[in-house]
Amino acid sequence: MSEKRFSTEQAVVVVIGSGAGGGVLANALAQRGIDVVCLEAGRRLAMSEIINDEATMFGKFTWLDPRESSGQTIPGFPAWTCKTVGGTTLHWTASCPRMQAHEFKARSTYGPIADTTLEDWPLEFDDIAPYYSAAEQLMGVTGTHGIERLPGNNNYKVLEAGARKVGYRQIDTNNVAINPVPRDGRGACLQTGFCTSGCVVQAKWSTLYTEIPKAEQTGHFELRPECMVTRIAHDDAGRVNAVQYLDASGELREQKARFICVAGNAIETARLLLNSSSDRFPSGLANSSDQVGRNYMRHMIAGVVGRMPGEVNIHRGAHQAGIIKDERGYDPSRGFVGGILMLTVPFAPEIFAKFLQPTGWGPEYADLLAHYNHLAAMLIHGEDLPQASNRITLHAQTTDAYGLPIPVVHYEEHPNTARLRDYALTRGRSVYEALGAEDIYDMVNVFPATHNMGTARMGSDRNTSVCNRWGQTHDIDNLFVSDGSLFTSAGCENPTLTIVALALRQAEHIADRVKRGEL
Amino acid sequence: MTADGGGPPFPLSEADQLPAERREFLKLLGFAATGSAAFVLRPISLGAAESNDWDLGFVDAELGLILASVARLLFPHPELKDSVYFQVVQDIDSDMARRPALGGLLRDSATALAEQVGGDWLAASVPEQISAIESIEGSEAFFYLRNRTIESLYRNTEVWRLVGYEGSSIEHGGYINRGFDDIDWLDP
Repeated sequence: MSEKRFSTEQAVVVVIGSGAGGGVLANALAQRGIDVVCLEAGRRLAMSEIINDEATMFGKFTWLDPRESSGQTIPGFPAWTCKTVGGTTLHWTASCPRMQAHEFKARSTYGPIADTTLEDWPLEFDDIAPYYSAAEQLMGVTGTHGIERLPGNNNYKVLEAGARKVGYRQIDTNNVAINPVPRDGRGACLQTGFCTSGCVVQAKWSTLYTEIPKAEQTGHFELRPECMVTRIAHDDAGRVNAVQYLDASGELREQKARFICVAGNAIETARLLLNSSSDRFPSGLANSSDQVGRNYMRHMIAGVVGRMPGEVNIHRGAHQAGIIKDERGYDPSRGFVGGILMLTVPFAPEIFAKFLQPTGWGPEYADLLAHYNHLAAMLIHGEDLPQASNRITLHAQTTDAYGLPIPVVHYEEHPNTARLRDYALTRGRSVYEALGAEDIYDMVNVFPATHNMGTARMGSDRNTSVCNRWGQTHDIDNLFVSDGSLFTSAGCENPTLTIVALALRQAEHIADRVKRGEL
Repeated sequence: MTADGGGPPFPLSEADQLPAERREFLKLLGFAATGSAAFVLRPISLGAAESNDWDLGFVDAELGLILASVARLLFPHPELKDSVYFQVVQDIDSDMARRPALGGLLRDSATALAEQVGGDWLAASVPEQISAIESIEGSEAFFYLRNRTIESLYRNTEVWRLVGYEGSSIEHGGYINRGFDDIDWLDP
């Protein structure tokens, strides 16, 4: 456990959040001898608390503080993020595809699209490539750097066989941050089938048992769990200088800071910046562009489930260790822009019961559920486009247990996304049809967002973005954003690898500037 | 949050529901004529209820029987003993302790269902009961009962065994040596 190292009067680097962005950044800075205090809203789970039970683990690590749903979001639960040391790296599937070069130039590639705020990233694939490589080595991503791929499980074998029959060729067990063999003090994957409930053998990379303890060993890092940041304060010159937070006992504390990096996941990051308004910054910190909270993206996510002619036993094995990449490119002849990935995914009986048919009941439906062991399933990810009106705002009346206005999460699907989804579902169904599936079900509009992006985006124009190419806010020199909020566009890939690569890149940039005495 | 059962991975809430699909009840009745459906749609047995260890603080026996019957009609698995469906009632009873308004909602709903079948729910035929449940599809009580039945039933290890879900695997070393890739019906 982390012992207290720094006084609240000591102006340290404050990193808010301990997940893929915050945990990686904090360790990378601590490794360079920079003193870091990491404030995490959630609790630090002991490994003995991580068990193979979805409902129990959901209760242990999910961000359950109230959020208001608006537009086409799941009522009462617009997004599934985590409130725990390690953040969403407890819950993620460890799927680590790199974004593609053209996706960093989305505006140039796709051209103008009505009712979007599409822009090119202020950096190119070649700029991030070395950090992708470093991130893959850090996390131990299969299929990279000589790390072997995971063996295919049953659900993958179904996906692969069907995909080949319909003519797909780019099919493999994915690049996942899951050890095929022991590595870096973590065990090898046992195919337990509980990736998203926390990996007790630590085969799946999570900052909980990698970056956080490594940072603690440097002597330059202190983790403060169960500390909810309520506000970022600034001095008369408009530079941030302290973070106010409620500690585990509910006491309000203030930590002095030399600079501050916000990595609370796209919803909480935007909320904190908006909640930190002051006389000088009446619309919130770093928000002179009015872009904080806007351009919220979450991917088109849909499931396709096949009732197969034989047993699949979908619950046995790593969740997203299976991918079809043939549809990921730019091909406007399909009737939309943006790419599509199709990945294996398992669900427990309860989830199928709820959502295979969201109002289903009766003998036929029960018979379908009784054939749980015959179900194969894929999760489809598609790029969605940034829109100014999709945004995180603060609720005008409702506050949470911390006394903070709750976030309102508003999302409406762009017509391009609807076309992409219809195409993707047809193609996904064809994979199971090719194998003689007895029935096929779509799972649409049932998943809360897990890929939250864009709410403090990077850009070269300070009027249409919040951060520059390093994740430094345009408005405040010593305030950084270090999570998926930075994404200028969404790509179609799981965002974590890119978040980690950006965090490593940002850490290097910050350390250089510290060395030069600029921060 | 809905989370009556302590937090479903994907919470269900009223406003999100798609319009209820009309069911093909004639088809269902035709299925009944084959002879197997009488078993599939077996009504809850009073005898089983009497031998069940009730530990209910809010649900009275009559309401309990109706709710158990509705749970079986919603998700009828002929292999399951009535006790599994009585566990649903037990869980509903626990919810009532936390949600004072729930009792009234379910009692009103049970009354409405009974009226639909001429007054005596347990004496009604299965097709009558199914038609009655269909008439409350879309109601708050229906969404609650469907969601609660799912969270109780499909978290029950007896049901897991029935459908082939094997639950916690870590104590057995996962599936790396226990069939994670044992599929045998795909073309080579």
